[in-house]
Amino acid sequence: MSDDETLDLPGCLALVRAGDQAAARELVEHLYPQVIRIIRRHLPRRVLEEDLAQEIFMKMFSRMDQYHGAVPLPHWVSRIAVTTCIDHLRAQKRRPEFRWADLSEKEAEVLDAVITNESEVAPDDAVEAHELVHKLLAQLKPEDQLVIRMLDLEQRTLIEISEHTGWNKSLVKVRAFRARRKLRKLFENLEQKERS
Amino acid sequence: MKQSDEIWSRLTKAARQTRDDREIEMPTGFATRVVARGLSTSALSESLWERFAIRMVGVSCMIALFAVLTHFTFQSTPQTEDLSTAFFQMDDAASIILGEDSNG
Repeated sequence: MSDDETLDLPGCLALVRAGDQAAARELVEHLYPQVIRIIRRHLPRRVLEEDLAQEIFMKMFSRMDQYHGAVPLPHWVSRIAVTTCIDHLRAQKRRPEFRWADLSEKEAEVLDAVITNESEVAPDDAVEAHELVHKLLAQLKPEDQLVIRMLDLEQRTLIEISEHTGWNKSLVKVRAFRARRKLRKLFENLEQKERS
Repeated sequence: MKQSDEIWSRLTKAARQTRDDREIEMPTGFATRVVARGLSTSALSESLWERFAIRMVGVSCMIALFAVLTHFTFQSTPQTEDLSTAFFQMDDAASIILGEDSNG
């Protein structure tokens, strides 16, 4: 009973609030794929996604009384998941500076090519480009990373980002602007280091 | 500035070509474990609030009783018997300003 069509969310919620364990299990099974996708999108592979998913569901149960149906339940859970990912990113130590030395040989080649040439990245180098993007994003504040990831990698609209994060559109725009400015500075520094 | 944006655009365009092919499979017993812990935690927090609220009712009743008792105790202490006496005992503000002798 984990499909969208078969799970009656309002009915299931009512049962969960009454302490029905079977309904709560169904709800967890229904929301698990969504929660895992959010974790995978925003956090590096080394993160223990099971622990984080557990934390998110625990928060969901403890805040169940605060959910009044103003937004669809998956959006509400998505906001909890996003906030938990941001907290996790905050807890991780950020490198003070992005360095060429931190890149693998292949990643350095791709970055060098993308800075010096105006051609597109070769399809074979997509994995390295993906890693590079994540390493560059790690230099930003967690909230800014999240916005840029949703805008540029997932190609979501401002409204979608707003729904999934709970931030209003203006705040999303401000965060995107701030993140892009930081990225420009990063590239300027990289170019200077490349020349020297 | 424009060049940096173009570099970023090319990188993200390439990064979008990668697919996360990891399967989404819930570990065995995950839902049971999470539900057992999640529901017990929320029940515990509810009961804590209930206990706290009941105690607070008792404390607020005690405070109210204390306030009522204090109010009546102070009201029953002897005040000035005659208000007119009290009025004439007060200094005349106008005479003080004018420098007049209040006794004369």
